[in-house]
Amino acid sequence: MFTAGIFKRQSFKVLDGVSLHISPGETLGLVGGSGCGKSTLARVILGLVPASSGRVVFKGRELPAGGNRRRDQGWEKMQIIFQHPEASLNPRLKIRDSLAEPLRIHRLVTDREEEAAVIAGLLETVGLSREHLSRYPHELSGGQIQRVVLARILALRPACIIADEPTSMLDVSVQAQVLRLLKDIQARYGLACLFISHDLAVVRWMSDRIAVMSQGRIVETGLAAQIIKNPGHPYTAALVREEEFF
Amino acid sequence: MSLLQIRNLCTTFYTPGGLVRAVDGVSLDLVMGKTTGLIGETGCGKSVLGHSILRLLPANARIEGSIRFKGEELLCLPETKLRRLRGREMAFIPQSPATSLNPVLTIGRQLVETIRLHKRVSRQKAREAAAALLELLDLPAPEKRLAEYPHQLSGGMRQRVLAAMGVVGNPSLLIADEPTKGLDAIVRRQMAAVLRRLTAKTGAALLLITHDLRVVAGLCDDVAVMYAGEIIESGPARVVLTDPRHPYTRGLLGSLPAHGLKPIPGVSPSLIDLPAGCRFFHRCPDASPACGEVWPSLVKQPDRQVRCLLFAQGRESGKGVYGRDLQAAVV
Repeated sequence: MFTAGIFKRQSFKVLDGVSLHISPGETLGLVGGSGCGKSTLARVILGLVPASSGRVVFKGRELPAGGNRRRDQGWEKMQIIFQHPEASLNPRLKIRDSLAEPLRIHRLVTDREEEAAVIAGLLETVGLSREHLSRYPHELSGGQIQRVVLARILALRPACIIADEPTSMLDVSVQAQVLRLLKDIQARYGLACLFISHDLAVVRWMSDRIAVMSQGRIVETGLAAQIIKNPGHPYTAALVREEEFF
Repeated sequence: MSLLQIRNLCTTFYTPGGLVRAVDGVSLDLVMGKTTGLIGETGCGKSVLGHSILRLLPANARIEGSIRFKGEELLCLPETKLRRLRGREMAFIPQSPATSLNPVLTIGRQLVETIRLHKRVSRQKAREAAAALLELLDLPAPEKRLAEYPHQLSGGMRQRVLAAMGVVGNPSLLIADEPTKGLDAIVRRQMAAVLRRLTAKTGAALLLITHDLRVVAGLCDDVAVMYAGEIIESGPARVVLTDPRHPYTRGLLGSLPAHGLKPIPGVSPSLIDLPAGCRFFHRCPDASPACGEVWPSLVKQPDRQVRCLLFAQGRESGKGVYGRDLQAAVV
């Protein structure tokens, strides 16, 4: 259950009285135009940006104010996939090291052998092969990088994934691959997912429920099919019309 | 009459890893007042094709074939003459508006510079022209925008500023590279409307390089689908998008969320080491053994062109011959 509140900075409200919740295994789609506060909400939920007021509760625990996450409190069970694949991985680390990093930080493996075994398992889950391990991020395509990011996240056995426009920079055919992978993995591990996108068609495919955001407020929530069939807010109606336009 | 005639264009990059055949035997015609969509996935060579027309390529690239613009062969033109064509006759709207504008100069300064490069007018006149241009492109409060820096504008606004720069010289050919990438649905529609209005007003031909099939459906008269450096299907946009013939085009449409989000398995071949037969062979659901052996040529059909053995004449006999060859090889 999440509750995030008013976020003020430079006396500008980016988020305004936002409340939402996600159950285990459920996908909540968050749609809204550029600059409506979707990504800020993702950052507030993760504690990367402090909220001015309100609270975020994850697995019955409240996220400490000021984004002061401590490793032993289980916050690593909530993870994020960012929009820009080219900025998601350390460009100076090989894929193997990027994958090993979370395992070492959270002391999930005891020796190199175990580490290699875990990494091999992760690669298989996300559909990459061993040859990718010794490459650098710039040698991979956007879709492959998003797979690596997903593998890194899965290494921590998360309970909740926040996907912030994970495929808006990818081609349609690659987007289909990545979204299907995300949905498979989510079903297999029973993950909760906050799926953020400006593409209503993609959100509809991914989500159980949809929340529509406009100018920092959640203007509408409901079951995906119902919202698209019967948009209750003018902004939602405009989005639905856009999908029909093209 | 076509404004731009591309015939058998090959653009090759010389790299330490080998020859990269980014564009391989492409023929395309652009007509005044018409919008042509060029679609395909990342790395298929569509941007390189756009750059080849303007000859804006790095030193390790070689262009072969023929590009005729208003009857003049561009590939033989000396650099000085080409510079006179660029911007005035042919303009380019680059992708990624975030990095294509100079971050330390105001929008006004950058637009005025572009205008004064093409027309002998005073700074004051150029500034007025810039404001008028931004207004034409639906940018709210254009006077205020001229005094702002690129980081103060949203992605959609920056994209419109780039479009404004592109049309300053009244070009008869406009090449737009991914003008809607990363824009949300409502801004994307505005951008499409802006491009449509620009081409209607100037009568220019527009080459729209994109992977957004919805923009193609909403904006283009014709469409060409590129895969691994080749055009594999082309024809009127309505025809190709509603009744795709090539298995790759069908796969592309099937991977849209509205069509069930079915991905095309596998990845496209490396442009350094291209397969002998059809380049889509190892990902194609309809492939026959012959497809891995015979390189398909572009087949003319009444309403389009397709590069696929499924539509080649005399395919049955061809398949028989190659099927025998394969069996013999196995024995």
